[in-house]
Amino acid sequence: MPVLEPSIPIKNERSDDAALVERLSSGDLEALDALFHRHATALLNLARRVTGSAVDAEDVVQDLFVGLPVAVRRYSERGSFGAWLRTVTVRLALDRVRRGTRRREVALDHAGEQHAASETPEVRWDLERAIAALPHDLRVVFVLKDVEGFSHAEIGRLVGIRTGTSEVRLHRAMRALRRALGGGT
Amino acid sequence: MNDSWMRDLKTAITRLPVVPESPELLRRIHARLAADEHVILPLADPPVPVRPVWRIAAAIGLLLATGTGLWFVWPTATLTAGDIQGELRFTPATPRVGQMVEVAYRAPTILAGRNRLVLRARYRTPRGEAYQWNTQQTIAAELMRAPNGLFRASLRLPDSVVYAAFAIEDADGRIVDSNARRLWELLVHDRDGRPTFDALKQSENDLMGRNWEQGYETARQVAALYPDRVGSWSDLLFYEKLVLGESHLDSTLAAHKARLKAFHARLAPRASLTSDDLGWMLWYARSLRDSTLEQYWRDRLEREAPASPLAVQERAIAIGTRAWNDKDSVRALADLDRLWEEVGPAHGNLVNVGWSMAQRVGDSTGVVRWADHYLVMNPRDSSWIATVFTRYPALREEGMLRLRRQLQALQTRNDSRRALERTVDEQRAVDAGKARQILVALGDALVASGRTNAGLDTLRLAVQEGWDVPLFRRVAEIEGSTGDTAGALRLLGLVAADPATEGWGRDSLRRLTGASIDSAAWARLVRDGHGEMRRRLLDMAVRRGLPPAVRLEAAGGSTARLDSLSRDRVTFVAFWSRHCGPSLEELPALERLTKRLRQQGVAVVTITDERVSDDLSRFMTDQKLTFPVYADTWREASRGFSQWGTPSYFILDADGVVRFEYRELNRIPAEVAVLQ
Repeated sequence: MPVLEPSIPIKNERSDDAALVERLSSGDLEALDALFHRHATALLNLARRVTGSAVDAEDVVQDLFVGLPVAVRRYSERGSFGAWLRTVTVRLALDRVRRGTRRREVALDHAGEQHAASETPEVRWDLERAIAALPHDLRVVFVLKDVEGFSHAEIGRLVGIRTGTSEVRLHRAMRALRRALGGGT
Repeated sequence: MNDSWMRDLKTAITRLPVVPESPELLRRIHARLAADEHVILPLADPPVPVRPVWRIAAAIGLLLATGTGLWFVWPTATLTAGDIQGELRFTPATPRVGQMVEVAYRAPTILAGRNRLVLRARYRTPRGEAYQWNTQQTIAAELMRAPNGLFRASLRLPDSVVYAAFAIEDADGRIVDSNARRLWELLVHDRDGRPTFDALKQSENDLMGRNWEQGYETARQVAALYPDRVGSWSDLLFYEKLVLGESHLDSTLAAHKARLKAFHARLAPRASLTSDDLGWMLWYARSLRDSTLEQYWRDRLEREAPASPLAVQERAIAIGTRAWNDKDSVRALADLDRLWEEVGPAHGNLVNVGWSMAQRVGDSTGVVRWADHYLVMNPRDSSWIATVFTRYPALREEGMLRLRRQLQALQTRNDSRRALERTVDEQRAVDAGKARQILVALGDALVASGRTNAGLDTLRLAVQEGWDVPLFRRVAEIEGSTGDTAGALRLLGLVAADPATEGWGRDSLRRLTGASIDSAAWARLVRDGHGEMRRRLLDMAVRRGLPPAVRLEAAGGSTARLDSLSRDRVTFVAFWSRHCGPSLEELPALERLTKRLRQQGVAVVTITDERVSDDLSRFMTDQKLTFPVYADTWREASRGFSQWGTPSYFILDADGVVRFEYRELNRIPAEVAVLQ
C-alpha cells in the first residue's frame, strides 16, 4: 500500500519545517519541540491579539501543539507550514471566542508590560490599548489584516464572513483606532 | 486618515510588544500528550453564511426600506428581439392596486414554436426585505399563443403586492427569457400615474445584489419623485456611498447636511411621526455623522416606536455592546430572550446578536432556541446553522439530523426557490452544489463523532460530482489511511488532472503512488482524471450570450470591440479596479494567470472601472502588470456581463458565450482547459 505523504515541494527556508513535519508525522515528539521553539512565540502573540487574552492565547497554543502530532498527518498544503500553523491557530482562537470557553479576560495592555523596556515610543502603548479596546469583530479583522498580514479573502474564510465584510470591519477598526490614538483626519 | 498617521500606525504595529514562548508552556503541552489527550484541530474554515458582501450594512440602511421601483426605465417594453430575448408588454403599464393587467409577449425564435409559455414572478409587498434571499417565486400566469403569434394572458396582482419582477420560460423551465437578466418589472402606481413610494422602494430592494447601478438610479428617481420623504434622501446617501464611493460625497455632503437640518426643523416639532420617519431620521443623521441629531432621533425612536425594526436593532446592539464590556453574556442572553418575546422577528440584527450571544454562553438549549429564531428570518442559512451545530458535541446529532433533512429537501424540485433568471437545469446544478457542501459537513461530523467509515462513505458521495480539488485530496488521504488505496488513487488522479496542480502536485503524487502502480497505470488514472474533469466542469458550466458588439476603450482613446479582441478564441475576461482592496490583492496572481493563459493561446481582456490614463499606465508599470487593460467607458461590458463589483472573472468559449463566471482565480486554469 502506498504511503500517502504530503506532497509539498521542499526547498530553501521551508526545508527545516518540512523535515520536522515529516519526523513529527512518524511520531518523533522531539520534532514537536523544535517546531514549538520555531513558531510558538509568533503564534502566542497572534492568539493573544485574536482572543484578547494572554491566558486564552496560552490555551490556544497548547491545544495547537497537543493536536499537532495527529493533525500534521493531514497537512498537505501548498504554502509554508508556518502559514498553515498560523491559520489553524486563528481558527482555534476564533473558535474559543465563539464558544465562550475563554477562561478570563486579561487586557492586552498589561500582557506585554514585562517587555516594555526594550520597546519604543508612546504610540505603541496607545496602539496596544487601542487594539484591546476594539470590539471583538473589528479587532480580529484589524489584527489579522494589518498586524498579521492575512488578506481579506483569507480573513473572510477564517472568520466565516464575506471579503467585503472584512474590508468594512477593517475600515471601522481604523476609524476607531484613529479616534483612540488621536491624530489624522 | 492622513498618510503620516497611517505611517505612524504601521510603525507602531511593527513595535507592538512580543510575549515570548515559555518552557512552562511546552512542559504543559508534553504533560497533556503524556496523558494521552487528543485535540482535533480545526483544519477547515467555517462556512461563510449565504449573504452578500454587505447585506447587514444594507439591511441596516434599508431596513426601513419598504420598496422601490424603476420609474426611469419604466415602461421597458421595447427590447432587443433576437434568438433568446423577446418583448413583453403590460397593459396598463402603470397599474393601480389590484388592477387587471393584460400581458402580451413576442417570443424570440427559441420560444416561438411553443403553444404555451409560463410567466413567473417574484411578488413584493411594502415590507419585502432587501435582496432576494428569502423571497419566493411563483407562477403568475400561463401565456397562450394567439393566432397572430403573440403570447397573451391576463393577470391581477394580489392586493398586497406593490412590485413584481417577471421572467418567461417554456413549460419545462429549460429555456428562460430573463430580459438579459434585467427581468421585467411592474410597479403599482397611484391615481396620478406615479409609481408609489412603496413600489419604488421594493424595486430598490429587488435590485440589490443583482444590479446595484440600477438600484442607485432608482434611488435618485425616488428622491426626485418623493423629495419630501426623508427616506428618499437617506437611501440615496446610502447608494451614493456604495456606488460612487466616499470620495464622491465631498460634492454632495454639504447639501445632504443642509437637508438633514431642514428635515429636523420640520419633523422634530411634530408629536406624532411614523416609525419609518423616525428610523430614517436616525439613519440619515448617523450616516452624516451628526451625533447630536443621531442621539435625538434614537431617543425618539426608542421611546415612540420601541418595537419598530430599527428600534429593535438599536436595542439588540445595545445589549450586545453591554455584554462585550461587562462580559455578562448570560444576562445579555436573558435580555435578548425578553426582547424576542416582546417583538418577535422584527429585525435581522436581533437574531444575529442573539445567535452570537447564545453561542458565547454555550448552553445548547439557548443555541438551539436562537438558531430557530435566526432561521425564522434567514431560512436559507439552515445548512450553515446545522453545520455549526455539528461542531458542538452536544448538538452534533441534531446538526446531522438537520443536514440529512436538508439533503432530502434538495432532492425535491421546488420552483418557489428557483430564481427567475435560472433554468431548471441550472437550479439542479446549484442544488447539487449545496448537497455536496452538506455531504461534506455531514461526513466531517461523522468522522468527528468517531464513525469514520460512515463519514468516509458520506465524503465519498460528496466527491462523486463537482470539482473540489482540496476536498479530493482530503478524502484521498482519509481513504489512504483506512486502506482504500484504489479509491485514494482514483481521487489523486483527479487532483493530478487539474492544471492548477502542475508544478507542485503531479510529480509528488506520482512519486507517492508509484509504490503500488506503474507509470502506465498512473498515466491512465490521470487521463481518466482529465476526462472526468471535463465532464464535471462542463456539467457546471452556464451558457449565456452577450450583446453582439460590446465596446471598450483602449489606451489612447481608441475603441475596441470585445468580439474582435476574442477572435474566436477562448477568452478570459477580468473586471478589476485599483480602488478595490480585493482587486488589488489579486493583481499579482492575475498577472501570473494571464501570462500563462496568453501562452496557451487564450485571449485575455481585463476591464477597469476608470479611463485608461497615464496615471493608470504608471500604476501598471509600478505593479509590473503586463496584461492588456481596457476601460468600460460606455458601461456596455458591465451591462453585458451583468457584472457588479470587482474582482469578477468570466470565461467565454470560442463562440463568445459566457461559460464560467466565478470569483476564484485558482479554478480558471481547469475551466479554460475544458473549453480548449
